[in-house]
Amino acid sequence: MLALLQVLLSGLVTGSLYGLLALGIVLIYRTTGVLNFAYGALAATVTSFLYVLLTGPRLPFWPALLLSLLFALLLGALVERGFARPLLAAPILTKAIATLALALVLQTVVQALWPQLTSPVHFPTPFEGHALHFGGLYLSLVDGLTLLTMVLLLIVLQLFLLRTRLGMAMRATADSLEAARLMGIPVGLIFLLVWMLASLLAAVAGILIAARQTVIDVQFMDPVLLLAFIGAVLGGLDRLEGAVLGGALVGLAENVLALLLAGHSLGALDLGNPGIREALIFAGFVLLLLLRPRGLFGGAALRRV
Amino acid sequence: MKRMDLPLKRGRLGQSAPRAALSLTASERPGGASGSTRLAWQRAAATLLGLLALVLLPLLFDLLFGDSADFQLHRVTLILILAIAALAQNLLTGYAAQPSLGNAAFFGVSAYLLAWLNSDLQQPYWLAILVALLACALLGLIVGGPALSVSGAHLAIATLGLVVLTGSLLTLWDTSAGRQSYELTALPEALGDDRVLYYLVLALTALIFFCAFHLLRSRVGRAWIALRDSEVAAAACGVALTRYKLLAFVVSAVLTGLAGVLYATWGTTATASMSSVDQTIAFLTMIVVGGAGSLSGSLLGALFVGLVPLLLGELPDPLMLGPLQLPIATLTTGIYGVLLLLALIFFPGGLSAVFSRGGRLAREEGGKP
Amino acid sequence: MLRVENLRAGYGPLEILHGVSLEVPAGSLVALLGANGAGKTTLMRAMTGLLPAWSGRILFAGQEVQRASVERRVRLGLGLVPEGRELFPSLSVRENLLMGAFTRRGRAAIEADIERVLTCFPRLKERLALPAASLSGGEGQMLAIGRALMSRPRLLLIDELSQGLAPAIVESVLAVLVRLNRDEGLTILLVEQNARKALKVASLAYVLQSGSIVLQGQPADLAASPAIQHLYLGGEAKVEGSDEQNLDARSLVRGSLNNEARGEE
Repeated sequence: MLALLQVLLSGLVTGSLYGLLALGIVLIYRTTGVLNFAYGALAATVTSFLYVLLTGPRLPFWPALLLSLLFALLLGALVERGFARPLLAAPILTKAIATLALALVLQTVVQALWPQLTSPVHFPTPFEGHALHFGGLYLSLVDGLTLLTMVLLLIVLQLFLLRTRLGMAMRATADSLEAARLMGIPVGLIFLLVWMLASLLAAVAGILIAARQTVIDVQFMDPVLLLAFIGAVLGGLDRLEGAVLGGALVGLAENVLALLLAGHSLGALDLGNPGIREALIFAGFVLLLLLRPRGLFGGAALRRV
Repeated sequence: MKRMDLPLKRGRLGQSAPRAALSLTASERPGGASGSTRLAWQRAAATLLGLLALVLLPLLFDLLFGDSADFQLHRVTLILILAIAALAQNLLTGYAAQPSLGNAAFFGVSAYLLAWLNSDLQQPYWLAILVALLACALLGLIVGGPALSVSGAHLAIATLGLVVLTGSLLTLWDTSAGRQSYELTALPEALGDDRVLYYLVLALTALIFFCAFHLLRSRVGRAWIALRDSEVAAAACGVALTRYKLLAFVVSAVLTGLAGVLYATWGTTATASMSSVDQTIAFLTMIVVGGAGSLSGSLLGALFVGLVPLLLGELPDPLMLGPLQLPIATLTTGIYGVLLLLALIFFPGGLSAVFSRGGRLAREEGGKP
Repeated sequence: MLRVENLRAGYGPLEILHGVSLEVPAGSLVALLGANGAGKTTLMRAMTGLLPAWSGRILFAGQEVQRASVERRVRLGLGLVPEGRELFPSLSVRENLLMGAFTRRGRAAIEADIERVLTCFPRLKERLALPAASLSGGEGQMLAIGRALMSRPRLLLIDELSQGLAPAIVESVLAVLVRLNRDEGLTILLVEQNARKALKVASLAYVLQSGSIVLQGQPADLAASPAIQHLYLGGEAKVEGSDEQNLDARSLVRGSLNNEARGEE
């Protein structure tokens, strides 16, 4: 029982990280129509930047973190202006491929600037080795911080989107670009802000994931990104709550499967193999999508007549 | 994402009628009513010339590369194989408008089936290929079924999930059999000759493009294009959506399967990375860079994806640019990415649109009263 | 208030508007009539800046705006109720109204204007918290008009008011517009398929056909003219745009221009 609770708890942590990434993916997809496969590379770039600040000039953690988040905002703005804007009217597939190209470029730039990240390196944080105990449950400090960050971010984001004029304008732009322009909403500025915000979310997720696995390289976000995408699609790709829930579901499934499969084998096949787990998650995802083509939490097709 | 569909761009995919392969020289201004027939004639001539050049390529390589001619020819063969895969993706995505990212699954499965049947079960090579292609047809049908209800970005991610799933299953097969990749040990001896393989692949590629050219002008091709332009309108015109969509999936799966077995034959091995996200990216890149909904686009896309990394690999490492010393080896992926981005930003309709632009402009001007 | 001079615009290589000129005097309610595909919506989009003008001038509130951004034109006091309404479906009715006031500052004034809109369209009151996607067609049109009013426009452009609406609802919405025009001096340019209804309330009317203004004048004159009777008020089964009818329309334009000349003397 305790083991199951423990697994659910760490599933929740993994899930909230996927949810965080899915959130940014959905945000960008809804407002600008870009399926952003460069999202992982964005996160990895900022995390690498933080790593270099921590190990190169040996900055204290918090100032370095602040600088990295500022860098994330800048990177998001840069990507929007230099890359997303010229492709705004392109077909969706072209945009998707372009984000893949962008990911290649980002990874190469990181590799060229900081060659040490080509192979796995230790990612130092002040939280490493600390843990919290609740009864028999164990929660590492990083995991606790992850949950806390997630909750705080969700509240702030929700308040921003629901209560502020700018947040409302973002939702309006996502709903109807044409009407948003007619209201005098500067949609170009909105696109810029959406990319900056999404880049910030990616950075937070990337840094938390790095702190959690304590080892990173330039491609450490690649396996995570696809799972985040699954979360986003399960959530319906059209609403932020769905993205978070979808991500959480994927994280939970991953951890529960790990518990169930550990130690079992099928013939010569070790079922504890992460490959099996991944395969099962993808199989379940494809199956779920067959049953609910618009995602588990997807809107019931609110279409204008 | 309908709102992104700015009216300005609405006609772009629709107006580019399927163009003949290698219609690179169609820039002469056609005059009057005979223009279209003359254009078709020019296209046919250009296609034949291109084909002739490819047939004579080995001789040219002998002159150019001497001893390494066979090696270089081997590398060119890959581009032709990629062109088949690009065509498969283009028929499905560029013509029938199904944003499926699942083709890499067929690519890997057919290669593994060939390896298993031919190397382990000692079945004849051609029979093994036939079985692999039939399996792909069946798989295409199975994947196409759900695609009738799942659409757009959901379909894209779901099929991508299928690719990853296939990749991990193939990896599991490899690990449980205690091997890194599946070696093809019983290939027909003749195919070990780079020239024979080149001509075989060339013949198959030419045949497939020829068939595709005619398929697209048939009832089936028109139905696919109608699907792309508007599903509702196509349904209203009595196009049986289900049947033609499924057909697109099956044809695409079989052609991708063929590319898969050829690829495995070419490299004498089948690897799980054939069913990976990277492979999917390569397929999509080919049609987006080359031109979605264009046969010559499939060729140009394969040329880009096959040749650009090859040429970048030929650059000296480190590259000296005056006082600047560039570590090319670490930069090639990034340079490739930049080239890809530039191609997408500056030629959003694909490279094929650039080559045929002269011809199209001339036609439009000529058409004005 | 608004003057359009020799405006040309279109999509891609296709020119839709071939030099349109019209004028909307301050305080008037002008009707713009025309068949499907005449270019009415294109004209609306070009006037608001959603579609760039190829050439010609657009004078609004004494300024040349044909190069100005949509945002600038909204700030100058141009409001559009677009064809098909284009609400924000996932935003609530109240949020839709708030977005209408995006260019404005001053919370109290905005709240007061929401009240004003709700007095005009009481049916929206009980729907305030619901997403706009849940509204019926008539309520949607009311919200679209209310949202456009929230920017305090000096000129309100309305594209296809009656599209998809029950006749009774069209009547009541029209009544509100007439009152706003009469009592609050709101200038309105109304695009309508239903010529009879539009001519009844308008003080000036234009007829757009194949991207050109072919007729203009007093609504009463237009309604009485045989060409308009034939073209827009008669049976809908009539095929529009045949050569003979064009001829009719052209001769009538000459007539109306003569009228205008006489009026100026």
